[in-house]
Amino acid sequence: MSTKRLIIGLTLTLFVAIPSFVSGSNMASDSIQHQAAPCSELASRGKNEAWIVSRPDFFVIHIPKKPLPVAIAIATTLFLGILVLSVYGRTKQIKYKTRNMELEQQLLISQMNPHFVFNSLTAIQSYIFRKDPHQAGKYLASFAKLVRLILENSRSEIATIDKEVKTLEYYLELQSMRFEDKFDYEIVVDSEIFRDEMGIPPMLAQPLIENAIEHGISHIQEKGLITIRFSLQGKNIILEVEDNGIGINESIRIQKEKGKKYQSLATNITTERLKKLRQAKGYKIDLTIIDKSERNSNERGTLVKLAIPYKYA
Amino acid sequence: MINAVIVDDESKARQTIEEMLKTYCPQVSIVGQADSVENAFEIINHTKPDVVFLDIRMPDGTGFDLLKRFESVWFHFVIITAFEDYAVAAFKYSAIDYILKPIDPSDLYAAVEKLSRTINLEENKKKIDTLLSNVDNPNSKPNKIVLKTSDNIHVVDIQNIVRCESQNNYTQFFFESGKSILISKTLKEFDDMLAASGFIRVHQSHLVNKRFVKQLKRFPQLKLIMFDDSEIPVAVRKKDYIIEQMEGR
Repeated sequence: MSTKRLIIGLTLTLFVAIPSFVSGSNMASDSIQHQAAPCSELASRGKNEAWIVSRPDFFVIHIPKKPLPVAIAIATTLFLGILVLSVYGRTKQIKYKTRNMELEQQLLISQMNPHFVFNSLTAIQSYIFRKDPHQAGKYLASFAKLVRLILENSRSEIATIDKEVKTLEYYLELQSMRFEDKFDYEIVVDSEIFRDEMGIPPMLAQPLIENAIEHGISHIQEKGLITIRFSLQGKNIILEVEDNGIGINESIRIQKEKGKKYQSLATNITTERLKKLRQAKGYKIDLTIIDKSERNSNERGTLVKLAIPYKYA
Repeated sequence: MINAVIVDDESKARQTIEEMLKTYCPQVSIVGQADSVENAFEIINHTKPDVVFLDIRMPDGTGFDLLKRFESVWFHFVIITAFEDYAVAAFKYSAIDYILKPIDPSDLYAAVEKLSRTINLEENKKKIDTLLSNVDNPNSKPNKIVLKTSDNIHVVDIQNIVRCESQNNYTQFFFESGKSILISKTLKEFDDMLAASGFIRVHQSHLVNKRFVKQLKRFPQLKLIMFDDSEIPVAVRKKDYIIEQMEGR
């Protein structure tokens, strides 16, 4: 943008400066004649005679008496002004770029939730020390597959729904192993979605699922159910994470009772990430959290909805 | 024999710790296990262990809540946690032993080796009080730090520390009151800890609290003039960094 501004500026300066230097150095009236002459010649050759012929008059009338200092002053001012503007613009652009790169890096890091990484490693270690090499091996392999997918995704800003579903499957499998089958899970993708073409920023659902398990399902006695749903709504993909846990209202109440020192890390991660996606990529993602009991007193659990503008990958 | 109780809400985690202790610390005998704060309180009172291996997050509260319930903590405790978060900073400031999950067996071994025969109740109390005061407001920075000298344990307000000076493997602390104490830890350890509290390493052997710096003298030698006009040498290569830090305070 600023380069364009610079070019326009220089062109303008030249337009102002050159004619005035030319006319300034030939201030005598014969120079006007001289200038007019080629015009007339041109005119005689040209097709639109009337218009061109009238040009010399225009020159004669409008030439200022002392064009040199004024023109130079204007040119210099313009030139300097534009130079300052373009340098300023350039600096701002560099700053903006750096900031953007920082945001992008943070985005990548936020996909790899440390919470989850260390929990997984701890789970693997526990299988090893409890002398269950098969389970340890299985867990390790799933973890490796998930990490590979996350690393792959992290190179691109969006992941296709297909890939995203695969990632979530590994993730849910690991979590269900860790929580010893405390919950079932399902992933539903609407048939209208082109799974291998449409993409969204990767791993947005992961902290939400972690919340559903640790703050929702872990508090209920019966087996939990986590449903992940992808549906299409206009230009958005609606990503829902639904559980049948105790519900967000109750969960918040429990947290407060404990002294609310452990406010959900996962929600922080999500809102933080949404903010960064908006700043760095202009992504506007809406987050809605519903306690299902508010909707219907027979229901229980939490429903989190993300409205994510999809892109074609 | 060292009698131990393991407190963790996940049975897998308890089994892991148990197995590791058996393998690497055969002098430890496990006398009880608990999966909640409530349970742990009872079992500890009942079995009177020498040491408690304590997880932080449990369904009915935290490991801190458990410590709070004892009028006097008469047992050793080693905190075992998965998260390198604000709590870990609080442990460091409170000189409390902690181990991160997944557990490095050598960390566990070192923690057990460190347990002394007798328990200094006063020391435990000071550590726990400091920990609780630092953890209670997780949003603000820790305000107190536990410093152990060879014969005593001091709890000091971080903002009363003027500067720290390296003495080989020891660190000398200077306070606003003019007092000073020698701590048997390296300056590096305090540099890592106190950087978040407005301290700045101006020299290989000097860590100063920005709050007490009066000016930076450039001539004839680069020096910091402290609030009491004492002078601290400054590493020349750090000049720009120091100026930047001072301007930002």
